Parts: sequence; C-alpha cells; structure tokens
Amino acid sequence: MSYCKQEGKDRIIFVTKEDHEAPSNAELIADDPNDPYEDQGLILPSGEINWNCPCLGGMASGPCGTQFKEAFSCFHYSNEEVKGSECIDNFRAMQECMQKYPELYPQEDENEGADAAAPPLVDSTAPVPTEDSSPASVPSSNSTPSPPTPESAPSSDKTPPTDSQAAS
Amino acid sequence: MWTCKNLWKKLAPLARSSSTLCRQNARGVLLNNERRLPLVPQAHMSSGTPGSRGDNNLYYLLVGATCVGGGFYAYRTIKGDKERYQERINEIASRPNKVVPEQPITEAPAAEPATVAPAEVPAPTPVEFPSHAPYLLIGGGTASFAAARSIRARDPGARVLIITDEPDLPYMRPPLSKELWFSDDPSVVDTLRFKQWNGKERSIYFQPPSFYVSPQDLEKVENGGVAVLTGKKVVHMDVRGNKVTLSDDTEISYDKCLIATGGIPRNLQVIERAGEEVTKRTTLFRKVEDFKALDKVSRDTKSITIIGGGFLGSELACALGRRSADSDLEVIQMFPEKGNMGKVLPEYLSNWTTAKVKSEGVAVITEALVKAVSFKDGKVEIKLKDGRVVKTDHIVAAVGLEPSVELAKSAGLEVDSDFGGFRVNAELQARSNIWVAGDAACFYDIRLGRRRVEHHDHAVVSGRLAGENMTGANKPYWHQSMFWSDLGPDVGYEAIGIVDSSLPTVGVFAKATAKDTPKAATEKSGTGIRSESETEGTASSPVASSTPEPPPVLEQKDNYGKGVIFYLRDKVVVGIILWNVFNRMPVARKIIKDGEEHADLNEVAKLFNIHDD
Repeated sequence: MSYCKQEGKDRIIFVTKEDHEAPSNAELIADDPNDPYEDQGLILPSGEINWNCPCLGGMASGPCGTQFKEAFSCFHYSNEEVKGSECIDNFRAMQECMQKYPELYPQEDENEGADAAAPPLVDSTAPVPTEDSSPASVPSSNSTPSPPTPESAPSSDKTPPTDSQAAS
Repeated sequence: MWTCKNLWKKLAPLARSSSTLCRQNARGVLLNNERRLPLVPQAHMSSGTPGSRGDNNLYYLLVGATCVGGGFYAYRTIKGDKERYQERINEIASRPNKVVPEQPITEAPAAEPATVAPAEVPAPTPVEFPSHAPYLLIGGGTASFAAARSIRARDPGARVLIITDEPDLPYMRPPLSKELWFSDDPSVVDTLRFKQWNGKERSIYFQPPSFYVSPQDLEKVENGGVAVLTGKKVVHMDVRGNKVTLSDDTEISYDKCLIATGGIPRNLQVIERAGEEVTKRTTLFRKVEDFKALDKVSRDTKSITIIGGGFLGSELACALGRRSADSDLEVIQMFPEKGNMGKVLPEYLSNWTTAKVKSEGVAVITEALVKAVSFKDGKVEIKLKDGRVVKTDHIVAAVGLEPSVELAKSAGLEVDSDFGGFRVNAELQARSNIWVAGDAACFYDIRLGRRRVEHHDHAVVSGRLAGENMTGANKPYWHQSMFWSDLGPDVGYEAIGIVDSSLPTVGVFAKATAKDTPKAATEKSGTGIRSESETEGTASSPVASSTPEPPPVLEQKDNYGKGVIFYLRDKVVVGIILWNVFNRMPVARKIIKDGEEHADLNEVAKLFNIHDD
C-alpha cells in the first residue's frame, strides 16, 4: 500500500508498482491540433513544410539551406509515381553545395543526405544526415542519468515520445 | 550616495529630538521654578527672570552643539562613503573585462555627434563591418544562435549579423560545468568536445567556423547567411534611428534587432572588497575561458572552495569532487541554505541531495554566511558569520547572474524591477523591431505569469520564438521550456515550470522494493538469497534497509530514488520535477499547459509510470 507523510508544506507519497497499476483518472484537456500557438511538427496543418522544425537540425538554415529547401519542397509537392523523380536537379545542386562544406555535411553521409530528404521526415528517427557538429538534437532516451541533450530544442509533442528533441 | 536631502533627513530627527529634549528639560526647570517661586507667577511668562534666561541660553547652546555634532558626523559619513565609492569604481575599472565601467555609456551619447574617431584610439585594424544588417543580434550565446537559425529557416536568404564581445563563436554552456569535466580526453580543454548521452561526441560550439559567413561578405553573399562579429561590444542603441554603436564607435543600422546579452556572474561584496590577492584567486564561472582557468587551477592547487549551493555551484562541486578522487584536491562547498539546491528542492529532497553531493567527495558546509575574506599566510581565509574559518587556495563564486541591461538606458527600454532584465511582452517584444531573448529577458508567460528564466533550454526556446517573431510569426511564449541537472551517478532530474522550494509540493516516489537496490543487496547478502526474495511481496523489506552501504544507508522508506514532484500555486500545478525519471517531459508539459486543479495528485502521478525504466 502507498505510504504518505507530511513535512510542513510538503507532502510525500510513496507508491508501489501495484498502487499505480490502475489507470489514472486524472483528466487532461484535449489538444487542439490547429492551435496556432503550439510548436508544429515537420508538416504544418496547411500542408506546408515547417522549415523551423527542430527535426531538420540546421539543414534549412545553413549555407546550403536554400538548395535544401528547394530540393525538399520539390519532393514534398511531387505527385509523380516515383515521388521526387523530377527533383533530381535540385538534389544534385544540394549535393554539390554540401560538398563545399565537408565539415558541416560529412562526406560519408552525403548519400544519406540525398536519400534521406526523400523519405518522409516525420518519423522520429528521421535519417536526416547528422552533421557531426550540428546541434541537431537527439532523442533523449535517458536510461542513464545523463542530461537529455546539449541543445534541447523541443520539438512538437506529436511524434517523438521524448521531450527534448526530435531526431537528427 | 548622500545628497543634501538625505543629510537633512538624517539631521532633522536628531535636531528635533535633541531640541525636544532640551525643551523638556527647560520646561522641567521652569516648572520647578514655578513651584519654587509661587509668589511671582507672572515672572514665568517672560524670559525676564535670571534663571529662565540662563536656561534659554543653555537650551540654545545644547541645540547648537547638537547641530554641530550632527553636521560633523554627517560630513565624516559622506566623506567615508565617497572614498568607498571611489574605491569601488576603481576596482570595477581595474577588473579585467568582466564588468563594463559606467563611463562608456554616459560618454557615448556625447561622443556620437562627434563621430570622428577620438585622438587616443589607436589606428583601427582594417576589418570591414557591414554598415547595415537586416537582422542584428546583440550577444552571441545560445538564444542568439537559436534566433539566427530560426530566422534563416523562415526568411530565405536572410542576412543575420551576430555581435558578441566574447572571442568565441556561439557555444552551449551546460557542458562547461558537466560533461567537459568527465571527459577522458586530456586535451579536452583545447578541443572542447564531449560525449553526449548517446555516446556520440560533439563540440560545445553549435557550428564549426565554416558554417558562418564572414562579416565583410554578409551583404554580398548570394543566399545570405549568419555572420559573427567577435570581440565587439554594443555600447549604445539608437532606437529612433534603428542603429547601434560599438565600443570602437562604429555604427551599424538594422531592420530588426534582438537583444540577447545574457548576464555576468554576480560576486560577493566581501570578495570584491577583499583586495587583489583574493580577487585573483577567485573565479566567476560562466565562459569558456573560465572553464579553462578553473581546470588549470584544479590541477595546480590543493583546495578549492565553491560558494553557492544552486545549480552551477553544486554541479561544479560534483565535477571537482569527482576529480579529487584521483588527486589530493580538497573540495569544499558552502552556502547559506540548509542543503544543496535549497531554493529549488523541497527540504527533504535537498537534504537527500546534499548527502549525495558529500558522497562525491565534497565537504559541504551548510548555513554558511560569508562575513569576510582575506589573504593570509599564502591561503585565502574565509570567515563565516558564525565564527567558522575556512582556509583554501581558490574560490569559485557561483552566487547568481546579473542580467546585462546596460543598453536599456540608451535604448530607452524598460528594466524589470522584480526579476531584473529587459521587460518584454508575451511575444518577447520590447518595442517595434526590438526583441529580447534568453537570460536577459523578463517576459510574460501566459500560463505562469511574468518571469525571467536562466536555463539553456529556455534560451533555445525563447531564441527560436524571437527569431520567429522577427520574421512575422507573432506567437507568444507557449511551449514551456525545461531544464535539467545531474549531481553524481545517483541524482539526475529534469524539470519544467516554476520550481521554487517555497511553494507547497507533493512528491510521489516509487517505493523501493528489494528489486530496486539489487547491487547493494547482492553485494552484501549473497546473490542466491537475494534473488529468491525478489519476488516477495511489496511490503518494504527490512532486510534491504539493514544492508549497510559505504555511504550511510537511508531507511528503505526514505529512499527518494525516483519519482515526480509537483509544485503547486493556488492548487494548480505550476512546476514539475522528474526525479531520476526520464523521457516523460511531454506529459509534464501537458499538465502545466492545462493549468487545471487536480484533486488527487497521485492520480496525476500515475500518468508518468514512474516504476518503469
């Protein structure tokens, strides 16, 4: 059974696993998916891409940001059978730009970068190239008592199960 | 400072009381005379009688003497204050780069119309600055970088100029008091790289230098970019003219401006006045250079004392304490509260944490008020108010942050009197085209009220928001930022909202069963026996509690291993700490966002599944 004590203004409750087995009857207010104040995920309710999503890391804001935006937008709006097949030029331009900044876009992730932009990035383990030094935040599955993430740019609460940040 | 008004205010009661006293004496004397000379009543009406005239003279003499005495005392006090003030100013001016003396701010407006470089400035190195930046970010820390990124993401081709007085590119601060100290790499002081929770290494710098555009190229580069002007301080802001002036009199105009100037570490007055021998053995910890200096000190000295029991002080104490395990370094931590994190954690948890900090090798002195600091016989001597004396080689003062609001005066911006910092609205705006983010922003939080937050995640969240609003988003502060801290291997927590120990709290902790202390249990009582009892009932097993561990064992039922603590204000949860429980922040954030009154917080605690790992 749970055990409770009071120390001045502070109340302390000790509970066992069994005590917490029954589902909670605490009521939470339903979230409004169109709340303009909330941080949005990668795709906005309007269907547009949220370039400021922490899940993109620094991709849209770096030196090759323009090329990345063009390539990814093309892909996103593509209605071809093979999605993004008409965007080859954009991706090539992006790759060329990235090659100029090997420090920011490590060479071995080059191909990942091109492919990664293609499949949807909504998945929390999005394979967006992890710039080695990019502050792209990583999911914090802290089983060890180490801090979540250096740069915890919180992402939307929708996809990633963890607070701090969406994937890199 | 003393003014005539204050002086008069001080003297007036003195004069008044002394004259009243004199008058009463005189009256007393007169009355006595009255009784003694009943036959000549009318004499008392005039000051004719020799006795009363003499009394009047006495009265005047006394009052006169008091006034002179009071005047003399006041003069001495003013003189003394003036001397002390001058000393203070001299000390501040002599302090290397740590505090901007008040002179530049008052001089700058005078210098502005002069424009031409003053004669004493040496020939400037020919670095070209852009004369105009569409987006100007003052300060080169976390908030500024987050804003830069946000602006670049939302405004294609944006040209962003960051101006920082530090020599470094934007970097993150938390590792300076945590991960960098635990690195196995001996060259960590130079590389500034650390291992993240997932094993991956990264630098404290947000981006390598190749990410940035050089300031000269900012106006021309095709797709825009972020440029950082290091080693330059903005000393004057002309809000009407939308331009700023740097310390070398260069002017840069802007369209949108962000002030993210952060703050400077506070110091104790007793240390500031203790003389150079003490101040050069004192570290105010905030920047990369402070980390490098302290690292060196920890190798060269025998004893370090940390003054301050909050986040920074406790983290540094644990980091140095860990280091002292391999060396004969003595680590002492002292603070006025009763336990570590005394202003954040409820008392029972603060005490528990203090025990943990002690087990990291730190000699913790609680309820310590520093009365005086001096340098004697090659040691820094700290005298506490209760008489205790601590002798050490080096002091680290972690006693808070003073937000940098020097620009408020020239910019005509409001400074908050309760929390300090620039006062901004819920959208972080101070005025049209001026936003403030990070440690220096006192903003309106729709859910939790006006506040100022000094945490890393808040700098990221507010910087991002400011960047969004600078590009037209018009969003208020809504996504609640969080913070975290680690104190040794047993204490790690994440927190969100207002976490103030003066609020009533409700803590729900997982009752430790035999299973939760497997290591200690198996070590002490033999593997076989322990494993059998693991499946036993949930009653707190007295066996485990009697098992001694090297640090003093806490009774089973008082083991605050993991749990959730709710901070309440008017029955609404305004803050939550996840104590050794991770990955549940979104739930915590939701509860605070709802702002509902919950009748049974145990039910709310169920949402966190604290028993799962």
